[in-house]
Amino acid sequence: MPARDIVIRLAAGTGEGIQVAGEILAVAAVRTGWDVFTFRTYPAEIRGGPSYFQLRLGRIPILSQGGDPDIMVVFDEDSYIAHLHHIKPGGLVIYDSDSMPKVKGVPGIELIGVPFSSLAGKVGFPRARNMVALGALSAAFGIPMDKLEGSISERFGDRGEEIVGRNIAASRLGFSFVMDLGKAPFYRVSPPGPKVEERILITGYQAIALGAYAAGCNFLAAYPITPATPIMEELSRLLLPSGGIVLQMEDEISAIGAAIGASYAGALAMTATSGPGFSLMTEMIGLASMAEIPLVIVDAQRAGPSTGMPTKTEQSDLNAAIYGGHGEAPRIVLAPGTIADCFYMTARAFYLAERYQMPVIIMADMAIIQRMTTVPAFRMDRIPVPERIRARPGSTKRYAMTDSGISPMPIPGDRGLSYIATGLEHDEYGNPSYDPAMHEAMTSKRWRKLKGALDQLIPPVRYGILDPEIGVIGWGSTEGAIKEGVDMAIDHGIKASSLHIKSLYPLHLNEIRRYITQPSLKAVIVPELNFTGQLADLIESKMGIAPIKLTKAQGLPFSPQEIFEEIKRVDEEMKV
Amino acid sequence: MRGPDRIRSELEPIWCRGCGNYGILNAFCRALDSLEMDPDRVVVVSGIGCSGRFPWFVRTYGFHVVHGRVLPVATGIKLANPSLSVIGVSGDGDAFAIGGGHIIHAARRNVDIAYLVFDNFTYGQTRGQASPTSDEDRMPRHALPYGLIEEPLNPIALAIAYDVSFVARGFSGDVEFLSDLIAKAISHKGFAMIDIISPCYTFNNTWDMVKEKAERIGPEHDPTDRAEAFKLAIAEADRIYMGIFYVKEKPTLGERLMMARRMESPPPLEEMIGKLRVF
Repeated sequence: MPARDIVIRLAAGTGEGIQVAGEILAVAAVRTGWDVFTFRTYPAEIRGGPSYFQLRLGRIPILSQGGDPDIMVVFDEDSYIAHLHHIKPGGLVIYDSDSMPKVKGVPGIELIGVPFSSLAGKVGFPRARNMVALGALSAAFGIPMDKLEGSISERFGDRGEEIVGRNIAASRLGFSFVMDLGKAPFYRVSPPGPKVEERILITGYQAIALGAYAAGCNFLAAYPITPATPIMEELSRLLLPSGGIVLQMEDEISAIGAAIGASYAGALAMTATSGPGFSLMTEMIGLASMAEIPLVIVDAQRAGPSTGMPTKTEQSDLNAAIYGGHGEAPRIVLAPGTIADCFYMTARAFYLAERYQMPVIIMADMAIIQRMTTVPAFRMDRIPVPERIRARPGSTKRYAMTDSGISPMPIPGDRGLSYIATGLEHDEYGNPSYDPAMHEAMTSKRWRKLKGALDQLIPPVRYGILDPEIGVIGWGSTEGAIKEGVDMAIDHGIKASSLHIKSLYPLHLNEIRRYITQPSLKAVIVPELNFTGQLADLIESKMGIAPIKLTKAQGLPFSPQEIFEEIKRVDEEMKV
Repeated sequence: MRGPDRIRSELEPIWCRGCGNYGILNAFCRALDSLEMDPDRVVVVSGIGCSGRFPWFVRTYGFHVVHGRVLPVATGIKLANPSLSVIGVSGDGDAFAIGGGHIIHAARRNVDIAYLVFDNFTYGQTRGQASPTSDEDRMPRHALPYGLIEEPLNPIALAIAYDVSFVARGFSGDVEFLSDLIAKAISHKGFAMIDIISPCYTFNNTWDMVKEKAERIGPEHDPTDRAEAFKLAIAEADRIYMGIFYVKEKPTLGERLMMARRMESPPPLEEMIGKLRVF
C-alpha cells in the first residue's frame, strides 16, 4: 500500500549543495501535487561539518518535518555513520559508491550505491554530484523525470542554458542508474488529492518579509545575524524598488535605534535579529515602550545563551521577550506557529504597533525561518491596514491621558505640534516629571493599552478531540508537530487535544483557563524547545496549575512521535 | 515672535548657574533664526547627561533617547524624512564614551545631520567623574579615587581621522562665533560635528584655562587640506584652536541611497506573490 507521506533526508558535509538539491526536489514534489515541509540544519561554519536537509512530502496537509527518514541520501561515510541509526526499519539508503566503495550494511535497510562522482564527471561537471543524487532519489520513489527537469531549469534558469543542461544531464544519469537496477520504485506515495485551492511554496523568512511588505513597511534597519539575516535580504529585494529603506547598521543597538528614529518620523519601521542581538536591543525596547513609538521586532530565536549554537533552533527567548529589560515596559509578543502565521502575523504586528504605539515582538525561530512549505496563497483582504492615530491641530498633549491609553501622536513636520519624545517619565505634554502621582498615572496609561490590544490579537487555536483527557499547550514553531502528535494519540485511542498560543503577551487568559479547566481534562503537557519550560512556568504563574513540562534543548525541533510518546506516557500514568 | 527668541521655549533650563550650556543654547537659537528655520521642521535628538535636556528648551521637535545612541536614532529620522533638519546633541560622555562607536559609522555614511557635542571634560550630571576628554586632574576626589589615570582622547583628531565631512570646535563663551559655526554645520551637506567646549562650573571649571588658550583658526588655513587640519588638531599643548578644521564635500547617505535605488514603480503584492511559485 502506498504511504501517505515519506520522509527524505539528504546528509553531507556543507558545501555539497544538499540545500539546493532539497529545494529543487521540493518544487518537483509540489509540481507533482504533493504537499511538502522542509527542515534544515547545518553548522555555523561556511564550509565543513555535518549538515542535513530533511523533506517530508505526501498528501495535504503535511504539518511537520516528520521523524526518522524513510529514504536517506548520503554523500560520505561520516554522514552515513552519523545518520545510520536514524533510518526507519525497512528504509532505504542511497549512497555515493565512489567515495564509499565498501559499505557495511544493516539488516532491514536497503542500500543502493550510485557512483555520484563518476556520473557527474561523465557530463563534465564534477560539482553536480547533488544532481546525480537527486535523479537517483526521484527514481527511487517515483517523481517523474519531467517534473524534476522543470524544477532544475527553474532553479538554474538565470545562469544560462549550458548550466541548466549539465545539471539536467547529471540528474538523468542518476535517474537511469537506479531505473536500470530494475527494482524501482522502492517506495510509493499516495497520489496527490484534487487541487482545491491555489497554493504557494514559501519559506518562513520570505513570508515574514512579505507580510511586512504587505502591511506597508517602508523601513528596516538590522545587523547581520544567523538566522535572521535572510529577512533583511528578502526585504531589500521587496523594499528597494518601492522606495523603502533597508539599512545595515553597525550593531543591533544602532539597528533598533535607527528603526525607532524612523518610526518617530512617521515610517512603518522594523528590525529583525536573533538572541544575541535581541539582548542588545533590550534597552531600546524600553525606550520605545516609554516614549510610545510604534516598532516591529522579529526575534528569530536560536540556541542560547550567549553565542550558543548559532545555526540551531530553540524557543528560549520567551522570558526575555516578555520581561526583558529594566522597569516595567509594556509590549506585545506574538509567535507564529505556521508559515501562514509568519505572513499574517507580521502584517498584523504593524497594525498593532501603529495603533498601540509600542514595540511588537514576533517570536520566530531558526526552524520556522528556514522551513519551506506550501500554504494557501496569501490574501491581502485579510490584512488590517496599519494606521497611527495622529494628533489634531491644536492638541499639545502628546501623552494625553485617555481611556484607551492611546494618545494621538504628531510626527515631526506637523505644524504647531512639536513635542519631545523621551525615555524620562513625563507629563501629558512630554515634559519630564518625577511627580509620584504622575508616574503612577502614566505607567497605568501605558499598560492600559494592552487591554484594548488583547481583543486585536489572534486567540489560541484548539485542535483535536472536543472533550480531551490529555491537553497539550504549545507556542511558536512546534504547532505542526504537536498537531500531528495529537493525531497519532487519537489514532491510538487516547482522547487528546492541543491549544496553540499565538499571542504570548498579553495572554488570552480566559481562553487558556477555559481550556485547562475543562472537566474532562486530566493532564496538561507543555512541550517547548528549551530547558526550563518557560511557557509552562508562565502558565503556572498565571493559573496556579503546574503543567507537565516536555522540554527539549538539543537545537532540533520536536518530531510528532516525541509529542505522541509523551501523551502516551502521561495517559498510561493516569490509568495507573 | 521674531529673532532668536522664537526658537526658545518657555521652559527654564535646569542647568547650574554658570554652566556653559546656556551659551550654547543662545548660540543655537541665533543660528536657527539666522537660517530662517521653521522649528516645526527641525528635530533635535539628545542623549543622557546635562546636554540631554536641551530639546526642551527649544521649540523644535525633539527626541531624548537612551545614553549614547543619538546618532543611530538621528540617522533613522533623517532617512525616514529627508526634508527635516536633524541635529544631534550629546555630552562628551554620551558622544565619546558610551556612544563613541557610532561616530565612525555616521562618518562612513555621511548622514546629513549636525552633531553638537557639549564638551565639559567631565560627567557633570553624575557629579564629576572623568570623561573621555578629561585632561587635567581638577575634578572632586570622591569621583576620581586614583586621580586621573587615563589619557584624554582628541575629538577633533578622531573626527578628521574618520573623515567626518565637517569638523569644527567652538566655545560656549564665544556665542557669536559659535552661532556662526552651528549655522555652518547645519547648512553643511553631510555629517557635521562640532566639539563645543562648555565648562562645567560646578565640577570641572575650565573657564579660565579655555579663555587663556583659545585661539581662532586663521584665514590662512585651508579646511579642505586634511593633513593641515590634522596638524592643527594635534598641535594643542598650549592653545586650543577654535573654528573649522576640516570640510569635505562628498555624497550623503541619502544621496547614495537615491543613486543606488532602482527607480521602479512599486509592484503590487499580488504580483509579488505571483513571482512566488504558485501551484
